[in-house]
Amino acid sequence: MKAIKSYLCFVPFLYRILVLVLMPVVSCGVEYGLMLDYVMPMYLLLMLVVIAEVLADYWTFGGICAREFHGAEYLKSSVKGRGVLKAALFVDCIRKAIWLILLAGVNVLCWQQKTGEPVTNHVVRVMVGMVCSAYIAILIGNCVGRYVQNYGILLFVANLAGIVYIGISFVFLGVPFLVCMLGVAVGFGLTYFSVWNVMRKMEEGYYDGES
Amino acid sequence: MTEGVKSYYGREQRQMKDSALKMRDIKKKFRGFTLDIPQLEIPKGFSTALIGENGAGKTTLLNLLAGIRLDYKGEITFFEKWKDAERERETNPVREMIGYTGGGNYYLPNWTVGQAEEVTKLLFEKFDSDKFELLLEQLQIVERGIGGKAKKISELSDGNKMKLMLAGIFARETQLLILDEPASPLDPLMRDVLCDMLRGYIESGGGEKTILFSTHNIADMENVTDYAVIMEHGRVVERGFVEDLKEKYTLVKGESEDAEIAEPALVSISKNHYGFEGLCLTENLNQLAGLDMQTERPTLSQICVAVMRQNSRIRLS
Repeated sequence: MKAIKSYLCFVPFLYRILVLVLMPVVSCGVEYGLMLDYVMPMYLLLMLVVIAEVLADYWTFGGICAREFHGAEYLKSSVKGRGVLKAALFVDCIRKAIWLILLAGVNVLCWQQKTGEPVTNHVVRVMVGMVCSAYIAILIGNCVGRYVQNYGILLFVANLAGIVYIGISFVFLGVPFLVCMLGVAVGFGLTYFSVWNVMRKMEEGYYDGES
Repeated sequence: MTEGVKSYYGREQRQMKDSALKMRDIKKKFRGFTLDIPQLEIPKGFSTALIGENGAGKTTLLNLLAGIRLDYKGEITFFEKWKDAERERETNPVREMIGYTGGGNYYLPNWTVGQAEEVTKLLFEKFDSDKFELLLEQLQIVERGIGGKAKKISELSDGNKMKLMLAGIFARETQLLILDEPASPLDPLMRDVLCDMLRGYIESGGGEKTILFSTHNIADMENVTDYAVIMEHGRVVERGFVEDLKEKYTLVKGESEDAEIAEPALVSISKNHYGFEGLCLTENLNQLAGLDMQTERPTLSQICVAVMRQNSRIRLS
């Protein structure tokens, strides 16, 4: 609960409305409306989600790794500052993972309801591949985007993340289920890395290497 | 050490019964600059001003004390109880007892006023939300209501940012305030309000609450300064209770033809066609005997400028 509170501290009101409420509702509506095939609409929708998530991160942790914002002095002035930031970053990653999984789940349900076809292992494998690709692309975009303070440059980074998503998902579409699980492992690794990287920058703020 | 100086420091020891901060052998190198403080104590229950030129090391020192920078040599003791190493433990109350306001990198860039409040609730246990909201209104930082709190901190003026930081620390229960140039971005009226707030804080503590602030606005902050520490080039060059410093130094004014005779006995001197004005150690006043001079009790600002001029590397021909 405390971790969620920490996360919500970093999430402004408009972000909560747009990213946590409006984006899921619109995405699910789009899925329901277009669902004649379970791959292509989801594939395109996830690309938009990747771009949106990288751009939206600007409101929460934007520029936190940039040189000018080494400070975060307020967080550093409390002994709980490190913990609050770390918890917020982890919850953010978990929120993104849950949101992508839910999106895939809704996608498959809508598709099944419309076509009446069974959910095979192949369908699950494709969904796992796409969700992993999107998650990896979002976290890569976030890791880079957190060094950026200019929204124009972040837009470029977000589009690059979209291209990264396309590239990774192409790889995952044609591989066996076990290889797909590699994507899950990479996702876990990137989750840890993205949190560690921000915390490392915060620690660097305490130490400048001279004493 | 002369008898006069001995008696001066003796008086300082008597007044400073307890210290809120005690520093020993503090050394910190940063971008070619060295902070070097062999010994310094900040008296408990008083308001201390940290004064010095730009780049004298004031902010670096305050950062070390607030725990914003941790790479330094030496030892800091907080409230006569806790060492700096203990401060980093989550169960240690030191950081909870300190309210710190800093510079431009204080809040995260995209935070709103409301988020700053939420974060403060998480970071510090003794935070009073009602008091914070009252201060937001009293100091006219944002308008009342949700819309006001939704305002991004980066969109606030420098003065309002400082007021927000002050609201954050005054809404907490603290024992020590460490304020990095709190008066600089404020307008004259708000500086006056700040002085009232600082004085009220000290008075409410019954001798237990302490303030340490850096400032360039010595004249504006003089009425809230009990103890002064003057720094130059990373070193403490003068310190003491303001009343003691005003006894230690005397302001002398004389005719321009006496300026050259008086100059060796003065800490600093400024001359013009009509005469000279300088600061003299009171114990050295007898060296000026026979000159046609007026003596006055100096202000803290005059003492600081004279001491800084004596130690400064700035040379105007």
